[in-house]
Amino acid sequence: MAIEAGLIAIGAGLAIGLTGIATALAQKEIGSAAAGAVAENEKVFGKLLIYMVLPETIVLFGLVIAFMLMQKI
Amino acid sequence: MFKPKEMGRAVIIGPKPMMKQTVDLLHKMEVAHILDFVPLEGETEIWIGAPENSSASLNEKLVKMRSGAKLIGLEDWAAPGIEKLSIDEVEKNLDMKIRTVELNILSASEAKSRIEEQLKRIEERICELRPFGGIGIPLENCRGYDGVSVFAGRVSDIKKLEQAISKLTDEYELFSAHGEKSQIALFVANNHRETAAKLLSECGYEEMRVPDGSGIPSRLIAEQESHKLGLLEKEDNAKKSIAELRKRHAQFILASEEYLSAEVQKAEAPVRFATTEHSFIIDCWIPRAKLGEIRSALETATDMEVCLEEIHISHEDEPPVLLDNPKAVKPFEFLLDAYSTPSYYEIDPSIILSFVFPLFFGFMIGDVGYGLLMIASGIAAMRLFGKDESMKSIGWCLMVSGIFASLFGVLLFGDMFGLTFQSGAHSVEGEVVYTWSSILGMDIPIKSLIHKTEASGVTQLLVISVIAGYVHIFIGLLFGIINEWKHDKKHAFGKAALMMILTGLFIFMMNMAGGILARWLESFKGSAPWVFDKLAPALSAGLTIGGMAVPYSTLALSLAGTALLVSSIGLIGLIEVLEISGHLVSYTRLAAIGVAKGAMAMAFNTLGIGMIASGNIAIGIFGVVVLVAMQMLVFVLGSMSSGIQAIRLQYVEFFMKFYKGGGTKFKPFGYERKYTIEKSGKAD
Repeated sequence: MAIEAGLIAIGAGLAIGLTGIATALAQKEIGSAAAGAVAENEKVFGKLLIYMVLPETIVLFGLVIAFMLMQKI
Repeated sequence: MFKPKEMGRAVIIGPKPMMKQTVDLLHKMEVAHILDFVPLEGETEIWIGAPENSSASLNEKLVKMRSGAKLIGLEDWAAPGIEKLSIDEVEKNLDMKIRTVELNILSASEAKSRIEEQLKRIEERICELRPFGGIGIPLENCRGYDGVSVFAGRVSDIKKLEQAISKLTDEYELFSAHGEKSQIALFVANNHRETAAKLLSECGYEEMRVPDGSGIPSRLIAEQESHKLGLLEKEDNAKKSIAELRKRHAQFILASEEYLSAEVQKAEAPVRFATTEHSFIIDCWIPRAKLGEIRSALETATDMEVCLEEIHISHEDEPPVLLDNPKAVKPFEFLLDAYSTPSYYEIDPSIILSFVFPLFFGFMIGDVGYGLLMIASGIAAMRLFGKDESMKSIGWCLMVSGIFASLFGVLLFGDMFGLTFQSGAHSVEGEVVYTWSSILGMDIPIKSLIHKTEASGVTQLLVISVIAGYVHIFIGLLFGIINEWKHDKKHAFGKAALMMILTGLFIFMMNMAGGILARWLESFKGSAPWVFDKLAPALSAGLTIGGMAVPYSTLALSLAGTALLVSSIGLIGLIEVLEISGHLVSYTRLAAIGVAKGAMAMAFNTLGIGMIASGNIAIGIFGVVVLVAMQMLVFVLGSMSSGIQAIRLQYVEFFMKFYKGGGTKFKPFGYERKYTIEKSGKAD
């Protein structure tokens, strides 16, 4: 059981860690583009904020999976 | 409430001599959104109107007043309680005041800039002289020799230079001053010039120009310094006199600038009208309810010579949008505008936004301490930046969200600044858990129904998030159906299909969380037995697929929904099924942010309170500092991320179900008066 629980915990960690990295990679690109666009035209701020936070859903999926895994320990 | 104010398209027609009265009246009433006239190609009978003759001179006066305002720094001057001036007074004194502005303000600011220029020159001179300050030879002695070469500048190694030069020749003179790098003036006979140059470069020589003029540098510097002091005093006086001028003329300059801007707007209005040789035509949008009022006002003011006709609106017309919301909801409209102004024909979601945004925001914060801080900062923002509309709106939103956060903090989470009032049910034996009750040594009867930092609490929060998401998306889809119904019934059916699939998915997820739901609803068991005895078993009955219980109701709703979706908008609709599932899961951020913030606060609290409780005074004081700083950090970071996530849930998950936007804001012809009072009585 101890090994199983450990593996599950590692899985949960991977789920959240990897999705976090994925989100960060996506946001890096969007963020720099958005900063440039806002500097040129402030009106697009609202729209760009949406693009900026879109990838956060990825890490949320990771969180949910991690949480479901953790409940199995 | 859910629709913008109804607009009517009006055409105002009258003879040209009546144009000024009409413009004045419309300007005063501030209800007409004028459409610029665009002449058709080849049209010879109707053309664009010419601005009033007065517009050029008005513009000239306006420029003078604005430059006056700029010179005395009125632009970024927070006017403390300036009284409004009547327009009569502005008109009466305008020409005289413009002369005053030209004479006094211009000359005062010129005097100031002259002094500033002199100061700058002195600074430059001092800068130039300073390196030579330590060398006690007059400047005029450093130049103008026939047989001697002069090297002035800095070297890094003066001793090495002295030795090397003295070996080379006796025909030299070296003056130096020590600083970080040594300042030198080296006089060498011309025949040693090149060798000396080589030696210097080996000693890290940087050449510096000998400043113009004559005299001993250190004395010259002292002279300049004393001159500078005198000028600084003068500059101070000039600044004071400008402040005096600002105090004396601010009211009039602000009022006249406003008056002139409004007058210029009126004088230039005709370029937006269509005119013929003898008449003018104004094409505009007016709120339907005001049409009658304007018509009668126009007819009275112009003795029936100008008439207003309402024309029929076709569906191609895009009327400007004037949102019609209660006063408490108005401040939330800026969130809508940041996305896009709604189109005239669609639902205005401001009301839902004004409730759900602070609800989500407050839920994620969910702490009475931070909630009260949010209320305080919201009120502070409204008080301090009362003149700035957007800051006022932000302040209001923050305050309302703070109220929700406090309510959640007291009623649901029972915590303040990340500490619960009472300890949790699942506290581990031997672990130190701080609560307000244990710190204050008294029993505070506020229970935590959900503990953010316990596993069971997180599960409950996730379930709540999904329920909130379901309701929110459902409302979005409902709005979508209403919006689409008139345009495209197929799309409306598509939204209905998505509603079915969403409901199926929701039942599936709730079935998984059945135990939690049952616990929550236990107290209602007696009052609604049919929910427990009939509805719940009917919804949860199903098969087990791959280890997961899938209710029949989910299967039925998903299949029926998918069939309807594919038949209404085609296979492409299947993408939306994926999207909507993603969106439902996306609401778990409500739980995620809440838990993350709660855990962060708890960690800092355990650290800080542990230090304070350690008994050592120094560590205790450090603990207080750490605690306060970290609490502020949690508050600022927490409210920023919660705010952004709360608005994102509106923009992405909610708006994408129905909102198109792209409307034009209603901009009435007129001027918002802050410093002047409009004449009463007739507009002419």
